[in-house]
Amino acid sequence: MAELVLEGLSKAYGAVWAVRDVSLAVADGEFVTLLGPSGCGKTTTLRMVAGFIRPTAGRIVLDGRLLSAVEGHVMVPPERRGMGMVFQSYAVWPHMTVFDNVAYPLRVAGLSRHEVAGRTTRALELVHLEGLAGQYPHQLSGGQQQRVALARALVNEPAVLLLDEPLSNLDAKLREEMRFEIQDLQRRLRITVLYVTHDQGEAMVLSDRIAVMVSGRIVQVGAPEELYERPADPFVASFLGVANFLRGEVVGADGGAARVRLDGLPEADSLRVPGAAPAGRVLVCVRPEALACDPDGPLRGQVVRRTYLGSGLDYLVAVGPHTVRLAGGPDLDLRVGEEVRLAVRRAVLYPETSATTSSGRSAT
Amino acid sequence: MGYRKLCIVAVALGTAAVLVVGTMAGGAPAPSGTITLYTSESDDDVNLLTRDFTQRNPGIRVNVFRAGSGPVVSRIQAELQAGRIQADVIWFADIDFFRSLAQRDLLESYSPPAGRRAPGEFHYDNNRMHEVRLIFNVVAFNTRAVRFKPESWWDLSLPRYRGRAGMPSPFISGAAFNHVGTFAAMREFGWDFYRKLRANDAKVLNSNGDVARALASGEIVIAQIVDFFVRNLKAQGSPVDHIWPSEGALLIPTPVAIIKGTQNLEAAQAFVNYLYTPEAQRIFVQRSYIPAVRDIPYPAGTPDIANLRILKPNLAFIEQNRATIRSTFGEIFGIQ
Amino acid sequence: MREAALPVAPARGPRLAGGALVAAGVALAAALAVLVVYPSLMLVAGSLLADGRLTLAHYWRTFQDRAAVATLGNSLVVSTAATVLGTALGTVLAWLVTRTDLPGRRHWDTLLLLPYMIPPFIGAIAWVYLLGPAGYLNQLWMAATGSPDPLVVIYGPAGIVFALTLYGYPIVYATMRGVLQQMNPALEEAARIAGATPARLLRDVTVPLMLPGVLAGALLLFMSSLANFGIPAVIGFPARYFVLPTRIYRTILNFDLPNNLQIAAALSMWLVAIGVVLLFLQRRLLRLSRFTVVTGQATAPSRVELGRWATPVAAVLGAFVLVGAVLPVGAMLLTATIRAYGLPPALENLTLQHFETVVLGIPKLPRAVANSLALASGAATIIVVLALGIAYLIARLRVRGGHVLDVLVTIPYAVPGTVVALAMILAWIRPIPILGVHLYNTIWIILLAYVARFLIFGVRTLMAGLSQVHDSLEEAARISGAGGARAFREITLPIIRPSIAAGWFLVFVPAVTELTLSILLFSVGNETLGVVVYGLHEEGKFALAAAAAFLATTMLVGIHLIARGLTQRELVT
Repeated sequence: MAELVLEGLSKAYGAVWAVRDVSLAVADGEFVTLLGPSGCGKTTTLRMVAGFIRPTAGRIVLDGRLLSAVEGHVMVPPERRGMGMVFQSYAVWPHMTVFDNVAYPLRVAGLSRHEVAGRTTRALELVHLEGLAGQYPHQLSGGQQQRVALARALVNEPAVLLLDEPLSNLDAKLREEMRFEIQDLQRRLRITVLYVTHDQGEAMVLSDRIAVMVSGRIVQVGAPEELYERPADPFVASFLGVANFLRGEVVGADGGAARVRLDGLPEADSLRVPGAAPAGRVLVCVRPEALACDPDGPLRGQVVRRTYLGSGLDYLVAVGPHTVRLAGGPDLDLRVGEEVRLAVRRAVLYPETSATTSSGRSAT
Repeated sequence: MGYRKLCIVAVALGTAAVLVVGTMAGGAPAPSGTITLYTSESDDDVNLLTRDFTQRNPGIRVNVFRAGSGPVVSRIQAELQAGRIQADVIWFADIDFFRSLAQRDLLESYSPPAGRRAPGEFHYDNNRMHEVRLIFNVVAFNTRAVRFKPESWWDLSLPRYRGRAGMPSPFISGAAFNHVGTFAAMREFGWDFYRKLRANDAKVLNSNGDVARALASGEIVIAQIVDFFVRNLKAQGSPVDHIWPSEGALLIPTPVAIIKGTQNLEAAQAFVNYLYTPEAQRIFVQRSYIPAVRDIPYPAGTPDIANLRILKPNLAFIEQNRATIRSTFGEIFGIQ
Repeated sequence: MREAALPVAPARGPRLAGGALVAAGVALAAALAVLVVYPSLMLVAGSLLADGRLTLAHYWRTFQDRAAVATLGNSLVVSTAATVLGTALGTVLAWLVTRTDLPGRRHWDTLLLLPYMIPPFIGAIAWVYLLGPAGYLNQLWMAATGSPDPLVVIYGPAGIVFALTLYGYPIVYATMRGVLQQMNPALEEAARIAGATPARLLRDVTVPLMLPGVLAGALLLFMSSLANFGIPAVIGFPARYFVLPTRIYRTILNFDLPNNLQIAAALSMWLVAIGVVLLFLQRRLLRLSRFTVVTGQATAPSRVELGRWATPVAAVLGAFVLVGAVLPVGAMLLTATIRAYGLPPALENLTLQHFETVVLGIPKLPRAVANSLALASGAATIIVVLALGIAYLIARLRVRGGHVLDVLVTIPYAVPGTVVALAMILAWIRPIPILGVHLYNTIWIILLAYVARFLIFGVRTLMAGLSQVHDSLEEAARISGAGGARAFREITLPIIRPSIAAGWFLVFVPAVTELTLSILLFSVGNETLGVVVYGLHEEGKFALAAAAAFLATTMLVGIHLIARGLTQRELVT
């Protein structure tokens, strides 16, 4: 069992807080991702967990063992934390063969030559690099180097595996391939993983839970579906997937749903949004796939752009002063300039003030 | 070994023993210990002399710091600034520097008994420094390039040597500084001499060694230079020779002096005295220097000093006009 | 309650690492203080003291000294020209050797470093032997054409620039070779793919990537040219062209000028000021473009195909080696084989006599060679160790104020060697307090002087090497379970080994034939090679001096070849 707990973890550089009061518990065998835009503090958090950065406040506990605490000056050095880590730059050592790279943690641990050979070979098999043990890193492709880094991080069966944007340097196809391979490895080895990325797709595919970070803080933690369907604020909504944000005002409520009049549209065209609603001005968040063409729909619009995606179509529709994106299946064939009526199947309301964070527009 | 040889050895040993016992019985123990000599004399000369000296004075070790007079002067200045000159004896061709030390009362007065056979004028400044052999600034020429043997200092200003005459820099060489200081004050030369040389595009090189190199290579063909450089090169086979200029060769003082406050005054004095002994003087002659002591035969090929016109450095003028001499020379030759 | 139950991991790790770090830092600081700071402070203090009182009088005097200002101008002119030429040359040559498919690259690599193995004062004299008014090449020209005038006379500013460039370009070459070898070609390829034309590629990617290396090399070259005494003295004097170091030397010898040593120190501070200003400018420029060239992503170096340009390029390089190395060494050899200096180089005048005399007839020469080899390898090794520490503090731990070290290291390199030697004498003439050890008149003061003088080479090369290695490489070892020291030893050290070797070489070579420091600091039994060779020359034994210089250069080349052979074999396996 390997349970990793971060409590009130903070890091300040001078007056600037890179990470502020981050608390997170990663259960044994769980895959948790720190997701956020660059500069949000996710890598700093990971590096505090690894022991490369001394926190300004807070504690890190692994399986009940205190790794780092400001009070009492506890700071277990990285080499004694029993973790494995994959770096964004791979950090494979250019002067060692693939075998020596992967065997290094075992040799440092003082294992017998026999054991080192056996476990290194098994680790290489795990990442499908059996044949390349004698090669030097510069003879390998980027993907192969990444596998070396992965094998090295796993070879000593660490309690926790840390991955810092491990796929960001790979091309799209390899990235997808490695994604599944990492997932597969994690499930087979039942290892606890803390993963850092700015790529929401990666995070959604891989994670049991995602912690979204903005400006050094965790704004929401949850399973991917939860984050996608019920984002805690407009930023999270826009960071995970595409979201339409429409400004409006709550004009009434009926039967557990709120009636929202969108700015610049007549009250007759108000939307019905289920769930408890704040009063006053709001931001309506609608996913493109939560909009549907419906002759009875309350919104009247005109198609201004049509994009063919193969698996479907992506439309941009002007609704009064608003512009929304609409995801259409392969069967929905609209022409540019065509008049449509839209219905909103699902939506989330936020008080308008909460839209003041980094993004109020629809993110693509 | 034959019987006679054995006898000779025995007698020699016996004599030596008697001599040693005699000196010891005389009460004054032979000087011993280590002395340090700072000099710019050539390595070969210094080695011969110190080896002979230590053979005769087995108790004394001589440490030699030998370098060009530039580094020696720099080193002494730094030592002086940090406290004390680390040498016991100094010996190089920059009497002006010696006199500046004497003025600061840094040189020990000593009258070497063996030096009494040298003319009194070779003991400067109340016996604070001593001339032990004579070197001169002369006119030298490249024998492959010069067809008419020069005769006078003024030959350096002849149009046929335009751009091919040279001399060492008075800013680097003490000997050259003496030369300029002396000639500048002479009625027959004066600064005019140097202006004429400048007009003839005469080259001012670094040290005497540089002048010797340029002269032997033919880069310059006529030069003002210290005589022994020319004699040594000539002995090696280089195409150089020198004449004794009609106006006279300039004596370049190369004083030896004992540093005041030396830890080993007796040994230092023994060394200075040794340089005047017939043995040392003969080594000088063997190295083709003119000895300072009168009754030692001159090196072969050297005219009798009685027949030579010798110019003495004008030390009084130099001392009073050091700065002007430098600046005037620098201006004439455009040296920064 | 929960806290009490937590098994707290022993805090030994970080504390120990911290403690060791502090101890290492203190030791380093002490060593630096002894080596560099103290004599340098003596120098600065000297320039500010008159009769025991603090004053700016000496500086004031130097500002009023019109000749000093003029010579400074000359210094800046020749040093700038030599730096521009040497940097361009060194960079282009390094690129040709490391990044093209030039045939015989390994041999070119050795040949192109040859000029650095010719000591500067010997190189200058060799060029006078070749292109002086009576130099061999000019004699040949005059004999062949019947012309009464020499072809080219080396004397003058152009000659100084020529000699400084030839001696100095290997400094840039050696730095750039390392940078280019370690540079990730993907960075360039990415730009090509992004649509950059070759010209844009050069401007936008290659040049910025090479900039740190180029600037570091250029700065070293500039300071070394600015402080050089031997070359301008030999080549400038006959043409009445004077530079600040020759002016400083004159001031040192001008003993009837009151406080002449202090004024010389003040003049030297000009050179230090220039060096420090440039150092800060360099850092400003580099801060704008901070990057790591060696990341954890390994790539095979890519090479530009020269195609039909291969032969012309090789021919140009060949001509270059001929001029830069073969001619001066040949001039030495010729001078050494002529019976007497000044005789024409005809067959009947040739002899090997001088070599025999040098090898067998100068008893202190073997001792001087042994001293110089011991001093040079000792200094190079000490410097590499110290520089590793300093570079680690500055480049890796980013210790605040670390750059002060950088400036202090610059002082003994930016001023003429004579001034450093005088500062050493002033600093160490008395026994070291408490220890009571005497350094003056021992070989140790020479070693100290060498370390102080050349420390900058080690610091620059290792800083460049270390800052190119991404932090994550060492971190990967830490997380793999290796302690800080072990990670450094097993990961960083092997990766920066080329930089270590380059730094060692850059120090060792000039130290073997060092002259300006040794000539003031040597003592009986502690003569150095430079002192003996220069002594022979100065006494008018030109053929012997040439023979000794030839043998010394040959020895350095031999050592270099052996060292290369050893390291290359190791790299292959």
